[in-house]
Amino acid sequence: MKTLLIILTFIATTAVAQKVSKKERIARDKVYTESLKHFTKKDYFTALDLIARKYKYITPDQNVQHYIEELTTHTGTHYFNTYSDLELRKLNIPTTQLIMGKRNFYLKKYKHGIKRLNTIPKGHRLYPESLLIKASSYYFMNKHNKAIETYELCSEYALKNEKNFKEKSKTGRYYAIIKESCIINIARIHFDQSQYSKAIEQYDKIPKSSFKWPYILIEKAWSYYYLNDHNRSLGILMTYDSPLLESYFMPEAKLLITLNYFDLCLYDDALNTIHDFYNTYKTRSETLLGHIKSAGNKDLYFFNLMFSPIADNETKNKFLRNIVTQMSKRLKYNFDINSLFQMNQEVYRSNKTANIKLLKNMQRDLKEQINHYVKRSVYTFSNKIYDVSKNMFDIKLEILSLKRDLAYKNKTYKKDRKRGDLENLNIKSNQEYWSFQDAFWADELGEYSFALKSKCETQKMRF
Amino acid sequence: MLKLFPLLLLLVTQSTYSKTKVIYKYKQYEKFDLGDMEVKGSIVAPGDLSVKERRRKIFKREFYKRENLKDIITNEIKVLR
Repeated sequence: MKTLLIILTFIATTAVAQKVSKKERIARDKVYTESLKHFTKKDYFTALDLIARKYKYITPDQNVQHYIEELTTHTGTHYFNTYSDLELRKLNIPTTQLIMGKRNFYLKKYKHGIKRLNTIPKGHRLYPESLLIKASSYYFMNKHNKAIETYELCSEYALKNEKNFKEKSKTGRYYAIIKESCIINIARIHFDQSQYSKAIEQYDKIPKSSFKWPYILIEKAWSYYYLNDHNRSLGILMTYDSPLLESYFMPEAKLLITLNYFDLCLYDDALNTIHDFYNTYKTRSETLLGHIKSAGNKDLYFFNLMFSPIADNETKNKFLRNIVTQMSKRLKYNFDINSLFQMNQEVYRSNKTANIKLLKNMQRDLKEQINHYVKRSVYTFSNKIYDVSKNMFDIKLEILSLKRDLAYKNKTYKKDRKRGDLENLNIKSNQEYWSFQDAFWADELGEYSFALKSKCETQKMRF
Repeated sequence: MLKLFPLLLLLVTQSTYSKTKVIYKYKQYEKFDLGDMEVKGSIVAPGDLSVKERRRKIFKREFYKRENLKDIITNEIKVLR
């Protein structure tokens, strides 16, 4: 009797459940067809919002999952940035898995992140990016060999995907950047393991036309610094003085120049660099900070800054112009601006079915995201200048105390040396040499070397 | 009479103490002729009397050095998309 009762209640509950699910299925189908209508009219953002809202707490079937994936190729993934982990997990699509993988990576929960990233299939458009994050997680877990293997796989898959798109298209650039990031990150692992020659070899695989090339020059210069090839390190850093790389001002580069001079015992040159840094860059940074403190509280100030003319930004502050130029070249910014324009199209297409209020809200949200991103970059840059100036001060103190010690010992650094000599140049068998004629030629950029001799040898002072 | 008694006592004690004369003698200055001194044993270089220089502690400031590039990797992932 008891078992009969249990069976009866089970049948009754499943029947009710089936009834609810049937109702629910009808509602879901209705939302799906409505969203699909928007999709055919190219109202991608409205379509995504409709379907994503419906499946916020329910895992969609495979058909809907594919549909949401298709939509995100048009809208980008920023829509899900405000979703909680639970909501993202329910959707269970590669896009949301990648977002969760990234979140875990930032939180240093590498194992959890890898678990999420492993669910992204090989053929998926986000697979190369997932490999980049996975490999970085392995590296941060000190699994260096596994990290290198995964980075290699990442560059391979990114190259495959890159070939399917035009070279200058945004998606083509996206895969190119992933490919290069994976190559560079292998170099960074070698750098971490003090294998500097190997790191340089890896850095050399990045073409000069690459977007990432100006950024890796400083890393290469650090590698040469640790190999005690100070002349080559100084030469590479000189590239940042070329007019072509004017907007890529890096405070750390100035510090490395000073350290190189210091190690060569060229203390006057080191002091000149420090003096130059304090006079030009630190004061410029202080005016930048003053400017953003006074104007930065205005609504969407940093977002609007990206659209003001270059000449205007230059008159405000030269660093501000440099940061804006660098930002405008970044892929994230370009993707976000693209989404913003697409939303605009959806709003002004005079499409009666489009949800204008929703689109306006989404636009505002994205603008705030860009505003925050630019603001963060400006402040990071300003803080970096402050850090470098503190380190420069330490070097200055050390130079002054070294000079004082020598004076007490009645000694001086040898002065009878020439400023540059071919003898001091480290030329490899596959390299050729030309003297620098005060002009930066594009094909020579990044290949410079100084020819200075160390002055660390001392001699007795003659009175 | 009672008033004169302390005065008399003072005169008696003064006269008894003035009899013993105290002579203070200081230790005479001692002279050493270093050249005349003889030290037994073999002479090892250096020949002159010398003082070993004390090793001075050299203070060195630690400069900023890039140990790894992990911060750049994280930042690049953040700004990828």
